[in-house]
Amino acid sequence: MKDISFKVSDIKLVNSDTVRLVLTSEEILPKITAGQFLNLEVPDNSLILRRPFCIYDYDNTSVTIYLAVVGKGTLALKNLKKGEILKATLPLGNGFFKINTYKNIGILGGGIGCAPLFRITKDYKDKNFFAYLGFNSKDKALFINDFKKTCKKTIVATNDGSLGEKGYALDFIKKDIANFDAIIMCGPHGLVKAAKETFKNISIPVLVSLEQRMACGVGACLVCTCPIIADEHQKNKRVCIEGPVFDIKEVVV
Amino acid sequence: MIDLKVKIAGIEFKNPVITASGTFGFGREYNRFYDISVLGGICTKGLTLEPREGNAAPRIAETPSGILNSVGLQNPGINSFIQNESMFLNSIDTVVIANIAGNTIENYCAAVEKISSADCVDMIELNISCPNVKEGGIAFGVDCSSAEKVVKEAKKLAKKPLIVKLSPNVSSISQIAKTVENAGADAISLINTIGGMAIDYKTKRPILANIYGGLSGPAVKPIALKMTHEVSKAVKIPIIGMGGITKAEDILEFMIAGASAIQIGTVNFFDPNAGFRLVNELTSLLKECKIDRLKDLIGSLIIN
Ligand SMILES: Cc1cc2nc3c(=O)[nH]c(=O)nc-3n(C[C@H](O)[C@H](O)[C@H](O)COP(=O)(O)OP(=O)(O)OC[C@H]3O[C@@H](n4cnc5c(N)ncnc54)[C@H](O)[C@@H]3O)c2cc1C
Ligand SMILES: Cc1cc2nc3c(=O)[nH]c(=O)nc-3n(C[C@H](O)[C@H](O)[C@H](O)COP(=O)(O)O)c2cc1C
Ligand code: FES
Repeated sequence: MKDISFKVSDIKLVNSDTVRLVLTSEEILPKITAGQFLNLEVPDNSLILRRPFCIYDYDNTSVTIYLAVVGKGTLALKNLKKGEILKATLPLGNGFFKINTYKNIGILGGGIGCAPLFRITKDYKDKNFFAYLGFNSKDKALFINDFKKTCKKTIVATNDGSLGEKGYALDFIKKDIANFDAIIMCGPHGLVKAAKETFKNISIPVLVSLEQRMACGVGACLVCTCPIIADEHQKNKRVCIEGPVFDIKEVVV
Repeated sequence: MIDLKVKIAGIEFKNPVITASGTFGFGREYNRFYDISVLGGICTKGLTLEPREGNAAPRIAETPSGILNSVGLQNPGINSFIQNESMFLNSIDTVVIANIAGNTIENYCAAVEKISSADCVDMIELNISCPNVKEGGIAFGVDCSSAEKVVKEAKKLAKKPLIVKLSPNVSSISQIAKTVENAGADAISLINTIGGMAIDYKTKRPILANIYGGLSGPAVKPIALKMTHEVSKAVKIPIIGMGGITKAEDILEFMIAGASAIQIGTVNFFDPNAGFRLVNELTSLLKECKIDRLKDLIGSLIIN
């Protein structure tokens, strides 16, 4: 992990409240793996903490992130201009683990939570990925064309049926569960909770990427913990360094 | 050659920059960003006799120019600390301060006795000011007679210099400071976090699961500076000042107010290279101000 100076090389509003941000560095970036995140400086002096975002895509010198505007920090980031300089610490957290042991992998994403799931489908060309992406409505749908390029099948579900299937992505992946050796997922708390219940009796691993409020992002301050069952005991583990990816069986929601 | 050295209770620090308890783990995390041996010292996460799981999350809320935290002393316990961190801490060339907390006098004493046996520890910082645990902690730091008792007993067992860390959540910090000085403290550090709260008006709920938390960061600096000055007038033992330090200018201000060294906490979260940066900025700033010996600044406040 390293603290790196980036230049905003591209910024675009992709829907009413989501921004695609491309950050480019003059130095070669440390090695990143799918599912890791960065901690990004916010261009507003009254906000001192950085904001964590997962790395959607990357190459040797640049990273792409998608951010949903939900508060002051993300609003300030939305107003960045091309050429502005800001720092980010990366790569943080563990990516999706043990992927090599699986062949057919189900992807379950909810809204902006689809973001950490894309890069893995691009990296493992020898695997079969099946994506189930859920959004509120057509105008909030994201990433679909990217997933279509890397996945064997991409099912889109919207709550109001304005795009793809009507209903929840979770219900669609549930029907096909017999086809997978593992599921990797990310999404809002409600989705994680429902998935925990839905998947409670299945034998394949379900890896979930969690979110928690953070400060340091590197494991030093202990503010980002989630209760996790380890060796039959509940422990507070740091999402930033022991996660953000956990087996859903161990997650207490 | 600029002389940044300072001395506290017989221990020499190569510079006054020490990382604050609870913001720097046991040093390993930030050693990946820079060689932490450049620091004057590091202070460990608050340690207790037994492991603690801390409070429920969310444990952090951001407020204007500050943060509220309610970690609640999550730590692996002193035994595990000694077993797992000694080798690393012995391998770095900086003063190591162990921050110790407890919930009864006996418990504090047992913790102090145990940590005294750790060869990786150079000094002990007795935390009688943690606002985030239900029993103990701050209760000892807001009342003169219990502060006196715990410091007196701890001092008997401490085989390393004893720093006592004070809470700002009191009506007279100089009185507490005098009390702990008389009880045998070798140095005083201040301030711990200031009790605070954040509410989400939309949900009508507190942001922290613990409801209340402790405020730190730039927002608390004026309060910390005043308390450093008040305490420096009240006691003769050295003071380690902290609260909202983010730049070299802040360090000079705390030292002018009476601090012999300083700690940096929250700044590490938004600048992982803060320790390294501050040591360098301090050297440049002293050059610019034509000050050769940092020590000469301690308590040099001019009032007229
Ligand atoms: C590992 C990780 C990866 C993430 N990846 C993405 C991503 O790819 N795209 C995206 O849009 N969002 C992502 N988030 C959530 C994002 O960090 C928050 O939405 C953002 O910090 C909100 O900042 P704000 O100032 O706009 O909101 P405010 O609510 O004003 O923020 C106040 C404080 O709460 C924290 N906070 C608020 N919501 C969250 C949240 N859901 N998770 C963590 N901290 C929060 C903020 O960081 C800040 O410290 C991720 C979070 C984590 C932990
Ligand atoms: C997340 C966090 C955890 C902390 N944990 C401890 C602790 O365990 N023991 C302690 O004495 N102080 C603890 N503190 C207080 C700091 O050491 C310091 O006194 C305070 O943050 C003020 O300095 P700052 O404004 O530079 O952060 C903690 C502070 C923060 C932000
Ligand atoms: S954010 Fe500091 S330990 Fe995770």
